[in-house]
Amino acid sequence: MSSRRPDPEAEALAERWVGLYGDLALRTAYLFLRDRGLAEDCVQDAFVSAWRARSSLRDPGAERAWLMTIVANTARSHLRRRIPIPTDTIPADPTAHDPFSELALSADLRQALDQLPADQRDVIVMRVYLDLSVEETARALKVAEGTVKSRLSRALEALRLIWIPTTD
Amino acid sequence: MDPDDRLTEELGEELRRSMAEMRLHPEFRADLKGRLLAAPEIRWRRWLSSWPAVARHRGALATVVVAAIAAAVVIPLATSPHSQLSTGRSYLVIVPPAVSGGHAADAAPAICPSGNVQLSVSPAQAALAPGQRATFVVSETGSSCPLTATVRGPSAAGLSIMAIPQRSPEPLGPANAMYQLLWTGRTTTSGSGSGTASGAGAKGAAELSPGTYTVTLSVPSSRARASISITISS
Repeated sequence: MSSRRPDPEAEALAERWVGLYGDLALRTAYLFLRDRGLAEDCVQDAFVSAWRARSSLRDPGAERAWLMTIVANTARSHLRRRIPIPTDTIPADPTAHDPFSELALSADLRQALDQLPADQRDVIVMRVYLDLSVEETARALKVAEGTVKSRLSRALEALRLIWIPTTD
Repeated sequence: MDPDDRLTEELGEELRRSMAEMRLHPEFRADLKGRLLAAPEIRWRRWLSSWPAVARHRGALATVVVAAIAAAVVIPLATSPHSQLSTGRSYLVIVPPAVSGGHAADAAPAICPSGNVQLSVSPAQAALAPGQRATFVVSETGSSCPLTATVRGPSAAGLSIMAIPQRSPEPLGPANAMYQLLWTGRTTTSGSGSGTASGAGAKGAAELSPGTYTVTLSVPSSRARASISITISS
């Protein structure tokens, strides 16, 4: 009995996806979920979903945006599915909640990002971190392009009040 | 440069710099690659997208498909005598106090007032000793229950958790019980806070004192399943 050998083309594609986009997907998922373990789960789910639907990607040049959109939407879906923990059962421990603690960010920027409403943070991840176009962001978040622009503008306005970039 | 563009650029650089060290572990990479190769591509998608007509008019085709599905779902609902506008369905699950001598927690089946849908609870009864745990799975059968219907059980609604003495007729001792609500199903909204637990002292996954609690589960559509897991801890 012989075990099935994977298709070399598929193997090369899997290698390329994981090698080229794996870390970016992890970081993107982390920005949404703020938890390394959840981010890894999200990457796994998103990549498998994308893999199964890979024939729907028509423009190879849009591969990065397509894959990151799937990662972002998977992360947002994970967030929606998460069972809320009643806050009145959580002991008050100010050190327990440290948003984006794995990032080498200044405390004020971490705080600023944490305080942004989720819809504005989503736009920051897509437009600012992933550098997707307004059109790609709008398609990914299923909102109008004008909404992307206004959310980004409001998010930047809020960040500007708290965070002052340190220029070299 | 526009101040917003400048801030966008600086923020992007800062985020990319701060996450440069965050990488997938090598074992995770190997595992992920293996999972991809083991996951079959959805063939009908490839087959469908290989049609030139489908490729050219994907948007229009998707609209037609969505419209057809919507019509198939909405028209029967709209013509139903019980149809009501709603954003979700609620039902109550009942776990009445145990009968004498048993260590039982009952989950009573509940019915929709319209009679069109039934909620069955499985198992209907579980015997619990301290440290043991029972999970009741509530599932819907039937259809066309108005979405706003509150499905009520046959008796006073409530989740009662009681310590049952080893032998009746000893008086009931103090009880601590943990309970956890779990939602499963593709359309549930457990993460968005639509499920609530209310009643004296009721807290999700918190220690409960003896008493009667009402657990209301809300699901956005049918075919969702809910389960209540109860552990008697003392």
